[in-house]
Amino acid sequence: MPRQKRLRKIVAPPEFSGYKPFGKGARSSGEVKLLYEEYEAIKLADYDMMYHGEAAELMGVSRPTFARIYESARQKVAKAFVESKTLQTSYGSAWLEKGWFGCSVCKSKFTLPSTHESHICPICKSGNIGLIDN
Amino acid sequence: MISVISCTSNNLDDSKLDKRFGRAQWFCLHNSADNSVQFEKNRFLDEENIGLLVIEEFIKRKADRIISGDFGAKVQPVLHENNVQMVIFPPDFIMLSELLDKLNS
Repeated sequence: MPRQKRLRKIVAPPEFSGYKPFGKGARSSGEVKLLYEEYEAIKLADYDMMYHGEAAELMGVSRPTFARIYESARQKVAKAFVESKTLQTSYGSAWLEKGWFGCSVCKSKFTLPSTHESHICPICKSGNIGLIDN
Repeated sequence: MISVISCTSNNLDDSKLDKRFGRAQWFCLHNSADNSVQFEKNRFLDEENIGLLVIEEFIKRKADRIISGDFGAKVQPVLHENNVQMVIFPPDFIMLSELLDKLNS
């Protein structure tokens, strides 16, 4: 069984749910899911111009792990651009320090403190959880 | 993991979940290590700032999670700082026994 992923801390989820191509060459040819932590990696490295080491510390992961997340993010964005696919954000393995999460199965709401490794619903144990917009 | 659940009585058969946390009459303490439960009466009902007094008591006793219907603005920051998980129980759940069955599964 693979090792359980450590949660990656994000400051805030993306302000958008996704991006769609438009114009002459645009066509509906599927979607690419960009995880919250991948969005955060692009934001920290390319928008805030942080060094990978600093960004990794902020996200609570090692520098090699950050590099893998960042590389995955860039590959997904490149794929969406080149293949005219919709870019859609998806929760992934992120946690927001003071955010509330909701379970789509039992409808409970809960927080995920940094000391709690598990990112499943505490009531019904479902993995179908997502950040609730404030 | 120790969960504290706000409820209306200390009888497992007929106790309902109490949506109020600080003003709940009883608290059910569930230990996931052995699925044991114990009930405690809320002894702070006549005090001011009940919610804060209650959570401070359970933080001292190493509670990992509080399950209730709502959490006030004063208690949320304290629970965040102490890494205690806040859980608002599902809207369809009425009886304490329903919730405990889910926690034990």
